[in-house]
Amino acid sequence: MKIYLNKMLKVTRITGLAIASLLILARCTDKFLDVPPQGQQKAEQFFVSESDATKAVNAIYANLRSWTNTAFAPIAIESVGSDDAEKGSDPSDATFMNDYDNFTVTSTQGQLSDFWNGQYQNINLCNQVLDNVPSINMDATLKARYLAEAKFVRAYSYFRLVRAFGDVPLRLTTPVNTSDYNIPRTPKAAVYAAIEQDLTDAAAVLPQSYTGASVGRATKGAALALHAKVSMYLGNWTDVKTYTDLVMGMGYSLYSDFGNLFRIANENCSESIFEIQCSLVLGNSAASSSQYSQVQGVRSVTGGGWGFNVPTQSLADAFETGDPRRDATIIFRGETTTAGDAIPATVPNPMYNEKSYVPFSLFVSGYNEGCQQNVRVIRYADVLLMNAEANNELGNTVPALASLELVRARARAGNNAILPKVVTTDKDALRTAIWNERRVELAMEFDRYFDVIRQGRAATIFGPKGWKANKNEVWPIPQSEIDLSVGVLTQNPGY
Amino acid sequence: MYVNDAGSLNTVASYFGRINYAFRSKYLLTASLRADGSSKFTGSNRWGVFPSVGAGWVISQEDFMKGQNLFNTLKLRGSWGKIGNMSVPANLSVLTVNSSYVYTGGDGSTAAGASITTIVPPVTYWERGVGTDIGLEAALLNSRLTAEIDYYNRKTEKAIFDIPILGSLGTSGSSIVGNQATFQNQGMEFLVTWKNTASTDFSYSLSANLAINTNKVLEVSTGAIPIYQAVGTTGSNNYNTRTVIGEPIGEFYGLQVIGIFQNVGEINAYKNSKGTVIQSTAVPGDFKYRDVNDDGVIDDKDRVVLGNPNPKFTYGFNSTWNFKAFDLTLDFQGVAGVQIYDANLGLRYGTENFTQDFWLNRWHGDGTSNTYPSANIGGGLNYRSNSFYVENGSYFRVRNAQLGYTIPSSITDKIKISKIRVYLNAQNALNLFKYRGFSPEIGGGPTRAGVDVNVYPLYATYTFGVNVTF
Repeated sequence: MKIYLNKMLKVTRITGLAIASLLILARCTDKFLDVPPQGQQKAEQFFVSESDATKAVNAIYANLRSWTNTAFAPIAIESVGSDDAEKGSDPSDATFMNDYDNFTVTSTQGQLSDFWNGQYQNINLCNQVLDNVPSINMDATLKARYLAEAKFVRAYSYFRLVRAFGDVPLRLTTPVNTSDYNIPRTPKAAVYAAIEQDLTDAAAVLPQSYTGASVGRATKGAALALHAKVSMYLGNWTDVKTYTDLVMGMGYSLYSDFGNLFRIANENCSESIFEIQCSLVLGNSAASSSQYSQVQGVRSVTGGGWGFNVPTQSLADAFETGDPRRDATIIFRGETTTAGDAIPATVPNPMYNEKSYVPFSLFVSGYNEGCQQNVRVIRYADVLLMNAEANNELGNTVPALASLELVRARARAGNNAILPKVVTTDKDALRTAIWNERRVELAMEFDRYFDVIRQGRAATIFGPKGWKANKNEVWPIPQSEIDLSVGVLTQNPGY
Repeated sequence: MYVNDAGSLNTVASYFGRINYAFRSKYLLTASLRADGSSKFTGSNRWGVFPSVGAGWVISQEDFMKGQNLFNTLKLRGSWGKIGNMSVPANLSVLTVNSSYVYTGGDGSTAAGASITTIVPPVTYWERGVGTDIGLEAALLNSRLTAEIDYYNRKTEKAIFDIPILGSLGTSGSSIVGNQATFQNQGMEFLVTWKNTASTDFSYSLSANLAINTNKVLEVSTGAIPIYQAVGTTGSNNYNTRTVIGEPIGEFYGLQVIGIFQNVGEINAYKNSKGTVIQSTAVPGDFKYRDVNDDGVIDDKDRVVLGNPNPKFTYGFNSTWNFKAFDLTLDFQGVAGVQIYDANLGLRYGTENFTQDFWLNRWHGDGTSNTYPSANIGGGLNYRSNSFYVENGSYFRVRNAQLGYTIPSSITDKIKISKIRVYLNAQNALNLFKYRGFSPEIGGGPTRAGVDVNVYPLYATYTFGVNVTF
């Protein structure tokens, strides 16, 4: 009996020990199983310091260089539909670009979703800043500036979206709950209102200029100039005049030599209002990522590029006789550029975009051709032409003619035999003159396509290529978005 | 400079217990229980408990079977069990910072950029496999004939994979990885083997197997909304697979081709019931699509199920033959009742090569083809996911054939070698399939299976070898 009891006790003890050790083991294993993501910062540790805020704003600018923001998608959505540009490259390469040129594109074409996603990526990066930076304990002036920078880029992205698609889902915060994921399209007017609010807020805070590494960040001038452009698309001519007048009082000036305005040395010059900063940094492919120049570069030449988005004969013919801008805008097959590059007569396309061109000698093997070329988003000449148009619409002929003349005089470069001063005081004739000036001054700068639609002339000008009123004012909403939203998003009419 | 220092470190802890019980070799019982903890999951979902139980009844050991001599063995068995899949990405519910951005300043300097550019599921559960199997095993005629019949139902619960999400969320990857679907494979398996030693010089074994499988989706994370995937199609939003409740997982989905427009007259004559020309922008040589909803346009509402990437039948036939010093092995294998989506046919940038099959059969003028489009397969609506790209994926293959000869011991003994065998082996020597691509064996994750995007051609291997045993 005693022996039996002893055994019982032993068993109990052993069992107890086993249970205890299991509990200890379970605790140990829980620690053992706590493995944080390797080499990646957890989101909850981000947005706590000033340096996090800096990084998050930096990310916004970095994304502006991305493929979807500067390469194929903008060519498809914002350029080849116009009468100034066509697909280019080899006839068989990326034939889908032709669908944007002759308006046969359907909702599943990939550049639609690329463009859409690229803009919404910018918007998410801006919303991350706007949602999370306010609560960071940091320098108050810098914080306010960062929020204003984010608002500027958010407005810029929504402007590109609303021009391209009309009503779009308006996200002004990052989604919190899954119920925030799938939201319907917001009417165009409300999207424009949000854009205007962001630009008003941004212009009130942003500095006029920066120095050093900050050169290229959004300025007060950029916010005002973009606001003028947005107002022009809305037909609010008083606003266009107000904002352009403000920019014209800020010390900007046209760069004297149009022919060299688009070369690397003249980036961020006195005419620059907003440029997407692009670089070639040896050993740093992530910094040297822009393909903006590469996709448009002269094809079949070392240091050139892929040869997309080429000027049309119609554009070449649009310049007045002797206008030096023609040669500064178009690289003709067989010519020697002012930078000294001989373009072989054998390249596949008769013309290429000279405004995105980077001299071949600057090409470094292993990097994208022309990755150092900044994208000129808004320059002072655009502001002057908007000012001219607004003044003309408002009946102020004299300042309208003055602003127009500034642009023509620079192009003339002292040669009074060309580009005679416009003197008409007839409103319609002056409007036409300003529109023509916009075409040749801003050619190949991704302005023309939506500009003509804004002017209400698309059916006349693009009609022969297949553009149809009440359909082609906007592109189709990407089919993927409609599918994934299960009908919450609706398609544009006619698609 | 951006240095990627990401990687993964995983830890696993497991407790495991098993009982085996056999009563008089008649009644068999196995039960096991395991608890697995993985660092890939967090919180209360870290540990998964996976039981299994199996039972067998050896009917041939029963007294009432004593008198018979038809069955050498007859056994009924059944099992049920759960397992957890740990081969999934780690920390799916942990939101991390994307540090891949590089800011470039106007002075040529660079600075780090980072932000939050992903969306993660709030919780991640273990992906579990739950299987039920009921089988009957029999051995007859002095165990020369053996046969097995099984019914199985294998569920994959809360399968983890990525699904596309709305682009307007602005994430960098436009997908979310998490528990997305529960699906089942249900079917029957048959195996029959005949082994015979006819004489000391001649023996052989023949074995045949067949499995009939039905794949069905039981639950998806998106509820009534299908999970769409664009796998290898032209245009990132040109979906060609769909996963929806009640249907096979990742079924092919797209427009139905009903012919090729031979001339402008046919395009203009192709109208819906209200007289609207359905494909007014088409050119001769383009696909003619079925206007499923008769609304006079070809769009996403006209898409239909085009095929199933999950094979209905898989079968095999294996044999070994020994005659004197010769031995021969022949293994055959095949699948049937399956389709392949040949994404290689859809030219993405117009610079890829055409296959010879496509080039020779392409439409190149009125009456030249009513099945193959013109070389403009990447243009118009031709690139849209459609039935032309979906093909029969059945195949039959001589997977392995080996002929060996063992040199008589009378010779090998003299050189003090116990055995020398020389053999010729052929792998995949003969493949029969109708599929126009290179290989009908495609693979791919659950919602992306069976889509041929640059799948390597299958190759045959011929080997000559010598086995020497000292």
